[in-house]
Amino acid sequence: MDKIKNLYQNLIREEIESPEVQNAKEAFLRTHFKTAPAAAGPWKKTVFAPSFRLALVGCVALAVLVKIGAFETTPELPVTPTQQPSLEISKEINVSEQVQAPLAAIQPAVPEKTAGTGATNFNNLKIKKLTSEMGATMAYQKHFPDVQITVIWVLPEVQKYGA
Amino acid sequence: MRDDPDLSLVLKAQGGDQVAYGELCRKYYNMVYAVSYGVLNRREESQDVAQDVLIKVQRDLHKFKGDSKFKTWLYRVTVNASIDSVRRRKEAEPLENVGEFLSSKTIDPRRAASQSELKERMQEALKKLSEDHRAVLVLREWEELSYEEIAETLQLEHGTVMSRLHYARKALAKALGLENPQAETAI
Repeated sequence: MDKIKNLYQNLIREEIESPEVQNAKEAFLRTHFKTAPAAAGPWKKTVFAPSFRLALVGCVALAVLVKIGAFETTPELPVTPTQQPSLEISKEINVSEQVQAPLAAIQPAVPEKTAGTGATNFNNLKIKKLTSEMGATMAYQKHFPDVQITVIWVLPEVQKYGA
Repeated sequence: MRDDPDLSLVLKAQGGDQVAYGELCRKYYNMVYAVSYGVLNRREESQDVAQDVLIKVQRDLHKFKGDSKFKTWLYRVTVNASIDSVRRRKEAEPLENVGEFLSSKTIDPRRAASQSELKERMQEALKKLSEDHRAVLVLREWEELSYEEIAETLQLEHGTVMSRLHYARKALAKALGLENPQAETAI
């Protein structure tokens, strides 16, 4: 009986250990079932591991943005993260007045210097202090040959406003 | 619930943890394949059945209530799937004549056979056994389960397990030219 058992066990063992069966096993497990991260393949602990790829893409994107000057700001415009009582930014940058202007009228791309008419003069805009109850603020200006653009960012605090 | 070494992984897998089920598959793939091959005696068919079983078990894992060990449940699913596969195959193939095999394959025991010849004869003898006999044989001789465990796995009477095993061994001994196989003491 031992001989039969031994022969039988050898038969099954040879079958299980055959390369074809083991390859099929690995292919099946790889295809159908996730494995623990520690055994996730040859990329573990390398810069090519999936966990590093996102950070790598982020760094590249940041470098590109810096290169094209996306974060350029004028030095005299400070970021003021502190919250202070609401301060009226200024009459000069009340954008709603511009929006309410008749659409039919021919509007210049940017407000003109029309002294004495009460119109806003953006070209000489100077912001000395900028705060908001919503959160931190940031402003920057961009100079073109015939126009100056002023951009004001208000970054609402997430905890307060769930933005 | 019995003391089951796989319980932790099974519970995680039941909760949808793919990694936990992957670990169970890696642990039991060889066992499932061996049992399947033991019953089917054909490589490609055994691979198909083994992989089908592991996918089916994942799908039906919620049905496992812990009444038996996970491994026992897996044995049962594997044997049933393998036997079903044999029966489907038989519907498409002519039935083999076991009686003819038992009378015609008797060999001269005085003739020494090489290992490869013995292996070949055993393969032939296994093909002639029924799937029910092969299932008992693989669980006993490869997985080394006790008669009680085999009976529980296959949901058979203890005596049925013993008689099937006796028949299978007798057929193999005859095919291999081993006379008067000693009866194994029941465990």
